[in-house]
Amino acid sequence: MRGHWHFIAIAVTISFLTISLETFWFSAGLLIWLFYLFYNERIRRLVVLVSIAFFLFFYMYIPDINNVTTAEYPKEINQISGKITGPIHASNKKVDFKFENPSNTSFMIIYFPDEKEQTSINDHSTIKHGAVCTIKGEIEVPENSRNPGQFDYQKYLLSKGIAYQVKVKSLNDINCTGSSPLNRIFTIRDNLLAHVMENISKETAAWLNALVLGDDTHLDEDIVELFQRWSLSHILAISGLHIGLVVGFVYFLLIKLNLVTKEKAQWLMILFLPVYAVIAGGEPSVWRSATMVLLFIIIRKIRLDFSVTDILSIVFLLLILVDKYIVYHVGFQLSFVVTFGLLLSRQWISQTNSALLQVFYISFVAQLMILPLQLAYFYTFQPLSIILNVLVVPYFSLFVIPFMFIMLMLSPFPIIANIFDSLFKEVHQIALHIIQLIDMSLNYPFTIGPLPILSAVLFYVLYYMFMNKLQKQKSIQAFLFGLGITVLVIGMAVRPYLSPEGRVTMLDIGQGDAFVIELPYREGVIFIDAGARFSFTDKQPNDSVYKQIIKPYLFSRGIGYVDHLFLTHEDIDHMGSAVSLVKEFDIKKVTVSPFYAFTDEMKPVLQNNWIELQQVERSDKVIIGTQTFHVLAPYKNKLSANENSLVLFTNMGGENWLFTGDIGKEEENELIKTYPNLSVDILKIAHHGSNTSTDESFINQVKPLYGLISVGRNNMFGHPAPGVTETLEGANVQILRTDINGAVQFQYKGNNGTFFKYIP
Amino acid sequence: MQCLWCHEQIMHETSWKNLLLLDGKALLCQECKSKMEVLSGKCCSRCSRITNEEVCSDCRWWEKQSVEDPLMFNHSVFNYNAFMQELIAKWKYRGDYFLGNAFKEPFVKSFRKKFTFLEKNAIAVPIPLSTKRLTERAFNQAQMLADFLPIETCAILSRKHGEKQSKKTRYERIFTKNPFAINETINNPVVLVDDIYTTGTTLRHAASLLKEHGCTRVYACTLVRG
Repeated sequence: MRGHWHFIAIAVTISFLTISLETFWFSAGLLIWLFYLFYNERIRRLVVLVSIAFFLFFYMYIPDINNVTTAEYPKEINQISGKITGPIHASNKKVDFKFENPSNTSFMIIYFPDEKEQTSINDHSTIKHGAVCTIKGEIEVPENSRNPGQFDYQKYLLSKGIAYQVKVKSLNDINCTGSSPLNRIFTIRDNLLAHVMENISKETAAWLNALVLGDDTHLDEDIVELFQRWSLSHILAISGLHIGLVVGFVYFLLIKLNLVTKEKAQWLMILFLPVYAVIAGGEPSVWRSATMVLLFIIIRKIRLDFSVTDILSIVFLLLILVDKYIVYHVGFQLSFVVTFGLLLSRQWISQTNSALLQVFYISFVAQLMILPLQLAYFYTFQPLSIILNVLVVPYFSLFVIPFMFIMLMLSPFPIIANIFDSLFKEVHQIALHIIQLIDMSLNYPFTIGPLPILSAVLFYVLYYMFMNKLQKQKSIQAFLFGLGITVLVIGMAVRPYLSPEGRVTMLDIGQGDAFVIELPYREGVIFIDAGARFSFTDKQPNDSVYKQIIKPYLFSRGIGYVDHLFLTHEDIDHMGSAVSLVKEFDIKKVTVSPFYAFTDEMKPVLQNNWIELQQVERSDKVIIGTQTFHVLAPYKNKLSANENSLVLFTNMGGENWLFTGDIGKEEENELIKTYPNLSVDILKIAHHGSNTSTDESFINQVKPLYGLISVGRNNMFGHPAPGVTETLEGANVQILRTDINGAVQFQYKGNNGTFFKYIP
Repeated sequence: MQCLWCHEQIMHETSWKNLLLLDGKALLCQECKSKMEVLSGKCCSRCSRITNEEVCSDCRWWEKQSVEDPLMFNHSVFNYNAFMQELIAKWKYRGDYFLGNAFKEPFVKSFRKKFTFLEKNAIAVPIPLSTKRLTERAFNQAQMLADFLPIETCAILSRKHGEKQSKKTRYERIFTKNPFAINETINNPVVLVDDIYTTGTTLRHAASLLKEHGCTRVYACTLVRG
């Protein structure tokens, strides 16, 4: 079996692919491959049999989260008892942990600290890992995704084996006793985190906690996003790089200071590694690298010889056996895919003696290995990130990470620590500044969206051939396969520009409007309104709609630029996300009515981004590509935002569309008077279905077939008003509403189109 | 599986090269394999000797000896470094017949690459051992190598017993009488197969005998260039 463990790991990976992608093609490929090798006497029967056995076992063992429907938890129950089974994540914004009841149902317990109730987790020291608790709170099924591209929290929790969430109103509703032995290590971790925060400057402490203790909550959000954007997040996640440095450092100290013998030092490492893995946050990447090092030491000790791919494969199997849900963890997948790719490339990488080239090769292999995963999860990638990694990885691995460990050692001695601290801050500020400069000047992301499975398979086939030829030093063939990969990726990026399909999407942003129109052949991406949620206390929009719904939708569709933004009127639920959208999606043109008053926040953004501002009123036309929007209103200032709403008429997919903003009955009446022949197939119901709009006479005149209502679930206004739905039903208008259907999408080709509801 | 030479466990290192189709069964470990030095770079086009010249001085000398060098060219696979010397000594003199299989893959691969032009009716002719030597060693190393090749093998030469080549001086080697006899005449192109090319005398003796008996072209493929 030795030297062949990766067969088993591949077989198990294929079990996972079979379950999660719901196709048997991969397993068919596995069988053909195994039998071919067996037939050609490349592997023994044992390898074939064990691989198939593992495939079958893991096929049964790995949970399927695609086809799970969670039943509502009995309403009358608002108290559960059980055990805390996960680490307690506590920040000043949120406290959460995994909780399991005696019948093995898992819950996510969440507490959002109230500004008034100044209780912190520290005042509730009984909440410990392994504690037995009773918890009071509303037990609910976690929210699932309501828009294409949106993060699916329900699926995310299911991928951790959690079916329900419990939002706790106060930490006093959690009553616990006892703890597990593991809790001691968690306590050490918490104490270390607190110790660092207290003894070292805020800036340095944030980095120390992230890089040594695996807690990045104190890092600047912009920095975390910047690292994400440039595929540098692997530096922030503790992985092989860090473990290697820690192990090397500790081992070196033990031996060089003559503290213990080599033999004992190895035993100490065996004990230290699992403890450090827990202290470092226990993410899969930590466990992967810690377990690998551990196995290496043990195998050396018992004088067995396994290849590195064997060790990686065994660790892979072990981690899944310990936690069957771990295969769904994005970090787990990325960590193993990258490590496997790098191990396969060892011979190729060692073909060069230049350290710089080697770093480049490593970065190159790592980035390409994960490209399909990166696109599946983040929809976008930075081609230049390979080069930035070459600069940033050595800086972190040679300077920042070792320095952070030294800082931790020195933290009890304030005087020396302070000197080191300020030194670090100086250097690091410059380094971050350089990265930010690069980000500003070289930010050319490739927004492609998820690859179809076949393209992903083709990508890996081409990449395999490319690396194979590269290792054999057949440069011309390697170049051709490399070209193939480039053509594939660019082909995927230009795919929408060749597609005759157009889409109109009413995003479910809650109580507010955001319509995205993607014209055929990507002639234009147009927004009609881009609303946001706002808090009632200060009436300021927050960016949650933009970040969680609008941006992910655009990215998942491979949209990196938006051509045109219509803002019907200046209410936050119609324009609250406009500023972010303009900044990040390079909008060229914004169209409003002459009576639109821009906010103080919006004005400089419009000026600084070279945006053409267009004011239109009744009987104007806006032509985008081959699409013409006729402006039907307003024609005079009605001194009220809603009543001044831009009304747009256009024809898409053979249907007449009318976008009405928040106009009232009076404006509707004016519309049918001014345009007596107005006939509409698809009507955006004005003002979220409020009873101030949608007059029966208007509906009877324009005779829509479909009525689109963009409205929040359980909104406080009672929209849509019962009268409005009655009117529509009476006129046989089919109603599509975001509060029931989630995002509603109209896909069309030529003159034919169909509506799709995201939540059927 | 242990390495035939150093008896260390052979570790299969998976890389992009062998991930999908895997290497064949390895007989030597990576480390021992890496000590076998494949001749590459600038070599004499006639005898595979490492030199910067197109044709080395030895081969030019051979050309002057008669109207035409009986041997078209010799192709050797490995350099005769210390490791190869030990390996061949164990194989040939100390009777480790099986060790010879370690040469199969590189020998055949190199042959295929060099002799692509060869007609299908070409024949591999091993340099024979005398009967006495054959009983001493129990196998003919040249025969073993010839059998690896993807062309037909015909042992049509025989040898009169004499002093071992390796025990002679260079002068003695070059000016000895032709020790070979031919049992059967053929007119196919011939690839002579031997383990070592040192001065080239042996191969040229065999080659000229073959040419006298009607062979059109005679090449040589040898494991090492001494």
